[in-house]
Amino acid sequence: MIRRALIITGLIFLAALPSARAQDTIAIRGGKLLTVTHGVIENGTVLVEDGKIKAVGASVSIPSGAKVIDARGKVVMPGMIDAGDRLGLVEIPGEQITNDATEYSDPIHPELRVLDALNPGSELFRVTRAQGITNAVSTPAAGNLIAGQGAVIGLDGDTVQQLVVESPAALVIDLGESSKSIYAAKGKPPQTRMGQMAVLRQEFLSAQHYQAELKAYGSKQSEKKQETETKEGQGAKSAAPPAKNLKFEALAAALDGKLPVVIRANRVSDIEMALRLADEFHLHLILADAAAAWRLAGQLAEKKIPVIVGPILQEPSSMETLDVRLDNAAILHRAGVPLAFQTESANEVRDLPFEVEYAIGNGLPADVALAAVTLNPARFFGFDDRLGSLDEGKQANIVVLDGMPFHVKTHVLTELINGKVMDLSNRQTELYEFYKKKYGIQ
Amino acid sequence: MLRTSRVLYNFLILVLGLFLSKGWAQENRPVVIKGATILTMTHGTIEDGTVVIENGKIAAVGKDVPSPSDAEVIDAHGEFVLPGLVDPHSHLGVYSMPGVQANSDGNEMTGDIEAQVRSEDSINTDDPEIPRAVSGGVTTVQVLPGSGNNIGGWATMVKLNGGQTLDEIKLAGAPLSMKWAWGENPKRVYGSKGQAPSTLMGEAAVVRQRLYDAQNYTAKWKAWEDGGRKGAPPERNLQLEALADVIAGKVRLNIHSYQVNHFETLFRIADEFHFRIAALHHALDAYMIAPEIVRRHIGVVTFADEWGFKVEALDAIPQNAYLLWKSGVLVSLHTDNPVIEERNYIEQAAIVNHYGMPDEAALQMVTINPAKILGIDNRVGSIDPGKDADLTLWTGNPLELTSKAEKVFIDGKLIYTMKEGFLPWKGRPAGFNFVR
Repeated sequence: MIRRALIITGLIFLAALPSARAQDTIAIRGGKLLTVTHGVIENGTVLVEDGKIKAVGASVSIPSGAKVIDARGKVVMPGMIDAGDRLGLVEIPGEQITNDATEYSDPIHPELRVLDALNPGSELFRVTRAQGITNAVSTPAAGNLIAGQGAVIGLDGDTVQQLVVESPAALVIDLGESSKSIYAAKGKPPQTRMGQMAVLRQEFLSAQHYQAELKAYGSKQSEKKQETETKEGQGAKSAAPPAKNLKFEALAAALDGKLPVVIRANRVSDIEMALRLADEFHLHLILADAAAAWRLAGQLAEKKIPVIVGPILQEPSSMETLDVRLDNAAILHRAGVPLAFQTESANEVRDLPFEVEYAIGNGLPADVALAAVTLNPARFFGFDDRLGSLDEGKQANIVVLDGMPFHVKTHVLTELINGKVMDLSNRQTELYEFYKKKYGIQ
Repeated sequence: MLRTSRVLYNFLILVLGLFLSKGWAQENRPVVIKGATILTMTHGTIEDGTVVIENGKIAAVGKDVPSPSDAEVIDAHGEFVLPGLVDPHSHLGVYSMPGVQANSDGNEMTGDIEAQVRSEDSINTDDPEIPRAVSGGVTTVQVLPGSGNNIGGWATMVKLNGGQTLDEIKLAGAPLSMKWAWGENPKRVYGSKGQAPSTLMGEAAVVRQRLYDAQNYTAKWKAWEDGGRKGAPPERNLQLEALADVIAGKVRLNIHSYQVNHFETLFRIADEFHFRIAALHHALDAYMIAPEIVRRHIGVVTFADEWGFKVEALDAIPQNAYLLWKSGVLVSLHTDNPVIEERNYIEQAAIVNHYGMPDEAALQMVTINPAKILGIDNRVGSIDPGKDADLTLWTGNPLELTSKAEKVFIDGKLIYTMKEGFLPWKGRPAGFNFVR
């Protein structure tokens, strides 16, 4: 029954697709609206115009000529956001040639930008968005100590420019086992956690020195400019500016607080190291992975450190994740820590809703879980003015469901990204339809 | 004096006997689970039903079943009773948790044909995943060698009863079962060393040659026996003996394979040597040749949703199980632990359910169907009188991801409660051995 409804809805929108342009006005009418910022509105309407949410409420008048999506008996929510994954960077994890997630040449790569590797042609966008995920924070994979700069993307676009919501979104640092195991094999630092911290501190100190040099040069230049103006005609010899250093530029942005710093750390000592680093250099820290974060919940809450947990079903497969537990998110929430979820995957991002359901099953209140996959990641990375809730003025990334989100029996019926109705088919649905027809299966 | 001591002796025997019989009675006291929704897996769902456990077996199940008077009664209103989950494909104990080098015992990657190795010699009965798995309602597991070799070695079926030794956990009387693997993994392992096989052609050639070697080996022994066992017997070769067992049809073959061309090569080899394949494992493209799999009566053990992680998984669809099931194939799910953690096995059923599989069929794919594929459905996989009392009480419908295993019984013995954890290991120092 649900399956049939799904297909019929799909067909309707397939047929409607050519005319469903961003500038169209669309009214999603009569649904149960999970706004995230201002509660639940029963029998509400979301009006979308020019790719943005024009109005949200129980009594929104629908302009004539608007395309109406009947959402009576349905649930309407903002698109889900995965706060950390490899979408656009990895096509087939097992094939290195399709994998641009880790630059193994050096452990220190703050200058790398996910932006430069994103592949808008990735089939993973189609497969992933079919499950209600509209956005992701795409970050380099583990392997290096400083991994590079992540980007916030939407899962629809023909070009990189169309995909990107925010870039750079954060500087990413990995503490613990990953870089030390890779560079130990190459005989390079860091080979220990001591080595990791020493390297990081030195890099940030060098970046501070670079900043100071730039500043000194800048003030010298303005002095000279004043001198030149007063002694007109006498051309002052200008000193060469400090050589542009992309690594230090990226670290400087983090030092200035312009770029949040995602530190992926799992065991208690690694999380403490992340906190020490953030304290010393006044970094805008977002803690991620965080298997043992529940052990430091009070401290994290006190310091108001946002935490990205997940995957929830992560197993203690490595020494540094032995402390992971299913109620990590619930414990952190009870202590007052703001939360988001990540899949840290590429081909399994679409299972994000099930991960959230597990967190709920292990004590996280459902409304908190909803915020953790919508508004919170948008806040953490500073794009909550554009995404993360059903509010006027935000980009129209909206999902219509046949039940409450995250339940196994709930399915995506309709999805909008930037106000455009998405085609929810992909290679998989096409293969399924082909063989179903071939075997005469209903 | 003699008389007195004899009286005393008799008295002591009597007391001891009473004590023992009391202990015995307690050990074997029947357990009755009342009021639950019973998901039998073979004869539908019984609302507000009763299951009687006696002597480690299921004694009775039904709507109105009399309880033995001395039974311990568990009121399970609002709960669901499901048979213990049966995982036909796991590396539990051979890739023990955590995944450090020291725990890597699943692939003997020193030669492509490893028919002589037995997973039981690698199994770590202290794998911390065992209590975690039981907390997810898993009770029976087939432990397989990995897929680095075309012929990986012998399987072992175990019950997760917390036994300290392999003897305690091994499923006695289980059929002979072996792991083979086809496709990317073996050719990558040996191709990267500049050895055969480095192609699918190579995989077939290596395996076929070794099967002919096994035929010759059998012939040599037969000749020696037919010749009245004169002279020294031929030298025993464990690898060829194992392959001779395969050719003789004594072994259930579980073959890791993904694509249609893998399946077809395997069918050709099976036809050439006249043996049967019990099940194609992973088999993400099996839906493409569902009718042929039906015709050959081969089971399929597959992932609910493991698309796209390598090239041979690119055509995977989450309705693979559904299309096969609708076509009449015996389908099971699996974890491939630690690929999917053993504890989370039930999620596999939930995901196929999400993609259209009816509730009961989805649950059968983690209970009775794997039991049939493994040839142990006379023992486990459903709630039927006479079967092992391997049962899980779930706090809600097991297909809801918010439901939890509340009590788990293996062979009638309560081995896990949500409150107290894994009872056989209760009080053991934490270390890796924990359930969170």
